[in-house]
Amino acid sequence: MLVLDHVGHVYSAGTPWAHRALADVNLQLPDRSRVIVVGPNGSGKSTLAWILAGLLKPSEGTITLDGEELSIAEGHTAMAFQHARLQLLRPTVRADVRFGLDLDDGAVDSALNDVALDPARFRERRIDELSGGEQRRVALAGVLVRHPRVLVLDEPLAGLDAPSRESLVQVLGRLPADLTSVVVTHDTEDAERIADRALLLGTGHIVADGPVAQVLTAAVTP
Amino acid sequence: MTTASDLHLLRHVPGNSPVHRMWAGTKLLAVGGIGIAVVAEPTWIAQGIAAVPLVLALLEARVPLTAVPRPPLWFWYLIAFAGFLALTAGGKPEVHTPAITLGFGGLIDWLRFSTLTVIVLGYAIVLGWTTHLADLGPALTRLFGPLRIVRVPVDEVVAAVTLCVRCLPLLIDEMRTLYAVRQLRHPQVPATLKEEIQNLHDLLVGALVSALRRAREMADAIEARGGVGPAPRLPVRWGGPDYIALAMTAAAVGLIVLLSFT
Repeated sequence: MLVLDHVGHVYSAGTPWAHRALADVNLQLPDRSRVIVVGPNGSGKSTLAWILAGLLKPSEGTITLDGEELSIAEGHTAMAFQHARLQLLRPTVRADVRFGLDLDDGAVDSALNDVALDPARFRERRIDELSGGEQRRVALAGVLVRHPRVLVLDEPLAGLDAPSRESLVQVLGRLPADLTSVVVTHDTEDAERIADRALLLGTGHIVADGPVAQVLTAAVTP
Repeated sequence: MTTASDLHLLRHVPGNSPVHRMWAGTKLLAVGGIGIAVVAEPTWIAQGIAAVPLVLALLEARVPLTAVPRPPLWFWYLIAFAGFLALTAGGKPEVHTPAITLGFGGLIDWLRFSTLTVIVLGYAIVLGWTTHLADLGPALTRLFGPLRIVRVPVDEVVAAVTLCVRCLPLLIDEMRTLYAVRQLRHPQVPATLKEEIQNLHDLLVGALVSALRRAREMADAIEARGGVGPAPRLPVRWGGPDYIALAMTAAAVGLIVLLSFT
């Protein structure tokens, strides 16, 4: 279980630009949770995503995974960023999925199948020949192949055309069952297909936490 | 750990000091004039002259000390290592002992160029702390205006400069993401020099591809809006602080130039 205990974060603490992004966030995410995080701009969604992925140490409170302090060195967490091209660190799809791991082609093909990309068509393709949606799925394959326990996705659907969006929603809807997924997004159209639970953030606090439909209703009610 | 985003390069500190109220063009003239003069004549006396307006501006700007950039520890080690290398170069003055002769010429030169760097960077930092980035474009348009007579493409030059300055935070943000990706997908710390070089190569290629993509998108956006167009020519509001700053700049540059002829 992933537990956030009184987590808060202040950027540039102790400088004239100090800015509080999160305050007193208490959260428990049991294994296999499928959570969506929504909220207006500046509500702390991205900061929460970075903290959940272990990339940012909160300036207040603690974050633990099964009672141990969360550390990216353990490889239990992964994050897919909105800007997919920045996550692709090798020239071809196969080389990128294998990046940092000792994998055979079977494992690469399996990862590509997980994100609905035909291995025969895509394995040898160059990264810069792919569309934005395909790049996003290759980045996701590179993340899934590491078998993380917690996967955080920051705005995975932003800027995609309708067919690419539908493909990615389908991929997100059938992520591995043993994975805890947290999707940070403004796009709530298909929220119930990718999550069971929703968190609504407002000015750094959790304003609502519960079933997706209930929280999204609260989000649009003034 | 200090990251690039912790250095707060060119970040404005809100305030209402005389230095904040000065026209951006006055500050650019001061930074450019004194900066060029002291780099051309980097003697101790010239540096002392250049440091006076800088210290006065720092005191007058009333920026809290917490705004001062805090470079990471490795940066200081690198500077100290450079100092050690300079010491090994020797040169006069020398200290003779029965065992060895130690020359401090290299070390003194290293110290002189280190303080020169601090002074030049200090001017740039004060400019960043006290000036909104949006004020730089109109100020540059005014300052470069006379160059139109000799057919210098002033609007294009100003657009290029302001785009570079505006893109700096984006670039820092993308480097932060790239570094995060590298940490998540390859959390093992590089153990050998080869791995370290590979690590650096991955980051640089990613940064270059990203910067090129960003530049292409920005160029498309500029084209879609009908090209660069003339930069806004806002009225210049001179005040007392501007006259004092220009007088001090003229005095400092004049003294440094005089010094170079003596």
